[in-house]
Amino acid sequence: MERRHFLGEFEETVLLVVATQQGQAYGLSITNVIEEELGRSVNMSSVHTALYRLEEKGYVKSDLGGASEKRGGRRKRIFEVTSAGKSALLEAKEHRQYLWSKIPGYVFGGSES
Amino acid sequence: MNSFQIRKPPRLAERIFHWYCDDPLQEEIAGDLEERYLDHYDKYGPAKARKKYWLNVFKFMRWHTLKRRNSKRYTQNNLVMVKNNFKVAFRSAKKHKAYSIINLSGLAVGLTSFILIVLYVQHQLSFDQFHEQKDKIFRVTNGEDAITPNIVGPFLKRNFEEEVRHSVRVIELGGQIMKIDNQSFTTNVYFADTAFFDVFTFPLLQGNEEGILSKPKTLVITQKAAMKYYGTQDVVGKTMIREGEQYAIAGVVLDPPANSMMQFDFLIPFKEIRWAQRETWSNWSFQTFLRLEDNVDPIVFEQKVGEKVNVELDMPTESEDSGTYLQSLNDIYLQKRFKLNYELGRVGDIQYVYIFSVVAFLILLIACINYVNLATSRSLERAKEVGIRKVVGAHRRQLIGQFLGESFLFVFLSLAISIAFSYWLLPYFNDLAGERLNTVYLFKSEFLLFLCGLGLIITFLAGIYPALVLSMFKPVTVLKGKFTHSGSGNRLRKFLVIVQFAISAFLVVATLVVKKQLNFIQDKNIGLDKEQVIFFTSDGDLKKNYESFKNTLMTNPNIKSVSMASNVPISVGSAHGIQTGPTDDDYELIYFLSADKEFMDLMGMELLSGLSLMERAVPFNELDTAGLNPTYIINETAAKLFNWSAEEAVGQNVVIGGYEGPVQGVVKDFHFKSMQQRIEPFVILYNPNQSYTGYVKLETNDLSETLQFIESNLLEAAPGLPFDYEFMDDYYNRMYRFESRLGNVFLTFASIAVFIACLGMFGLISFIALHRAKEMGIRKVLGASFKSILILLSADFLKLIAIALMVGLPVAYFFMGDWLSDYVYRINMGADVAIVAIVFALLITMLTIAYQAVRTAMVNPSKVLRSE
Repeated sequence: MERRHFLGEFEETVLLVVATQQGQAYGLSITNVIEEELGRSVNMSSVHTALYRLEEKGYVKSDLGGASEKRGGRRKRIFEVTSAGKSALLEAKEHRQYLWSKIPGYVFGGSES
Repeated sequence: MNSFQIRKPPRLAERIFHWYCDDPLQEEIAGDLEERYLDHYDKYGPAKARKKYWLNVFKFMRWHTLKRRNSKRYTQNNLVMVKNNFKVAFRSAKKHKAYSIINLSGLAVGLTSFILIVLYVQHQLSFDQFHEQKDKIFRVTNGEDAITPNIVGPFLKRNFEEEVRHSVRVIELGGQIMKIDNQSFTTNVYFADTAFFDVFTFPLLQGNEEGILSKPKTLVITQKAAMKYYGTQDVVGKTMIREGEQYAIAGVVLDPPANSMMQFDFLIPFKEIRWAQRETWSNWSFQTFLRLEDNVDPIVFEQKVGEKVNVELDMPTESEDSGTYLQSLNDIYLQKRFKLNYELGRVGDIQYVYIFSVVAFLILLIACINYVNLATSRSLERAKEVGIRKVVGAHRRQLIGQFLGESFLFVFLSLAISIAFSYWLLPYFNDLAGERLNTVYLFKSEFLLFLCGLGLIITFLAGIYPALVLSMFKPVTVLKGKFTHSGSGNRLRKFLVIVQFAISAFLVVATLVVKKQLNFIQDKNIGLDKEQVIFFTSDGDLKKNYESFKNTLMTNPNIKSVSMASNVPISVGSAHGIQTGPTDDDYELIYFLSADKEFMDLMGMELLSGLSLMERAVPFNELDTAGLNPTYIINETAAKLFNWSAEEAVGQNVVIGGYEGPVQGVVKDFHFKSMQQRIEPFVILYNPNQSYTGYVKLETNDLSETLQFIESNLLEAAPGLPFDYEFMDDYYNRMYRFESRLGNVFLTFASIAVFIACLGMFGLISFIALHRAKEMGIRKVLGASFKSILILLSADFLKLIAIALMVGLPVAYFFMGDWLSDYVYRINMGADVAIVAIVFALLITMLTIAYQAVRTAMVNPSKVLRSE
């Protein structure tokens, strides 16, 4: 059987955030988005770990750059989604849409239709 | 910008982060951390921001963020460096041969001494540990004597059936004469109760354990004795003659190991001692061992035994101290709880075990100090190397590793040398210490493991300081050539030299005091003339034919006198009671010796007043039958019991052993026991029946012929008696064998300590001579004389030695004073010991530094000065 990497739920979130900030995503910015925009409390270190694992799986690639004074002159590690990452995201999205489409209408009541 | 500078995250947390975080990840994470800290700072204020920063630092401790110390790319490089480090160490050792040899020999000599002493101490501690039931075996004692009345064993067994599993009485009767095929020899025989083999672990090689030592007229022989007397081990069933009766060999037992207190050739059933069969409380001669049941608490049981004995003897138990004790088998050899008279075998002393351990430690310390001193003194030479290494990119940690590796090399090389040395020296050490240590102990895996551990510890202790110092140099100063060696390092070296010499001075003084005390004991006039006196065991035949034997001997002009007595007068152990008050209960012990008429003359005892046995002799043993009153010859101490002078005592009546009689004479005090003990009351009895020992006083230069003459006459008078004679002065010296060995061992190790310390000093003076070569050159150019330079160089060292002596001598005086206080008759340490130690120390210092000092003082200034 083909060995496949699966996206965990948190990993998927992080990967999506990286995609939304394509070219500017780094550890803290992702954390801020998750915390502030999604209203979900998260550890910086967890985000970092998730990014690290995603990079191992080949879904993101990174490069150093963009030092700022606020960081004590230290560079950031900027993450970008790779094509493998993109297809993984797409696949995940397709799976969801497929499953959504299979849900019988009455489950969520009439309010929607 | 300023606002950022003030809002810095907590320093400590930052440092912790840098400490654990893997280098490639540090930058990004630290950046994120700081950015977030600033965000929080603006949002929540400094306190909360700091707290969150701390929390985040700890939360980032993840597996993937931790430092990879063993990751592959480092390991390979490290291995190369380790190899390289050893190579450099070898090269530098080879380049400085003198230094390396001094360093190696110091460590090797120190370690060899340490190994030998540890073996010795281990051996001492291992005594009697081979008995499987050792923790359950106890010896009954009254706290003074190891022996008990013969009733004690059976009495306790009868009364405490639930607590006592076995009781064994053991007695050694010296000079037992055994006869095999008409050949007689004296042997070392133990008599023991049947349970002997149930209690002690002496495996039987042949014979049936069932019923051994219970059948009459049987005996057990050791393997060694069997080989000696029969040439084979298959001796079960063979017979030998003892006291005219035939004994069959019932078993062969493995030789008692070297670390056994009990050493015997033969074991004979206790029942064969005819005179010991009637159980009484007055027949003191026997060691009583109890094998307690497993659940018995010896402390509680000891109290019970004491009370029972006191009830039996009608003596009230006044305090918690009942006067009867159970001494654990584990404590017997090292005399841990009691120091008892009449031990069965040889005993050691826990005190000496401690002393030797301390000496071993001190010698090792001196050797380590040597290494530290020599290694740091070479800092100048190594400084450039360190500088270059640092410039090329060596971390401090790597340098420390390098220098530790170097000391590892030195320590383990000298460890290997000293193991070989110990192997080779062990027989000599055995002679010196009077032990039977086996080289097998040396190569036991645990011992080797212990040595390796020790090696690592020494590597670290000796190596860490030089490593820290050498790795600390700043490349800039070193490579600019501005490097001078630090004052603090110099002070430390001086301090270490002081420590070394203080220890050496201590050991020297200790040795001198021990030697002086021993000479004092050996030369002290004990009040007897023990020169040219031989003594030997006697038997019934000799007693019968004694008169003719004596008369024949006296015809030889080389023989001055012949006599018989019960004991050897320099180790008397039998005592009666002498009444000192109106009732029977007021009595003191009075030691006695039974002798014939000639004995006092032969031994050169000096009669102060009254009549000697020559002039008047009433046989003590025939008092009851003949209805005679005894008469006594007592010593001065006995007379002092009654505050009599020698003259007053004569004619006074005293009661000794229940017999009243007048004092017929007073003899001058002499030492009839160990010199460690005070002279006690003593009485000489006339009792030809107790002639267990024959004495001959010689007056000749031709010993061998005279001894042959005695032997041939003895063979005639007592055909079954072997002529196993011993010289009295040899016997006397043997009594102090332990002490005299101690003196020799001390002398050896003190010399070694001094030797190692001198090596260290030699290294140091070489270093100083090198460093101050230019200074001396300039001094010479300016007109300093050879003499003044010599004085200048030596003065430094003499100062150190003076301080070392000031520390070492008082400590030594204190401890040795303590040691001497064990002796009743002891030397006054006096100033001479200190003077000898001081002169010795100065002399040896001068000798050590002379070569280098003279060389430095003689050198042509142009040679040392031209290079700058």
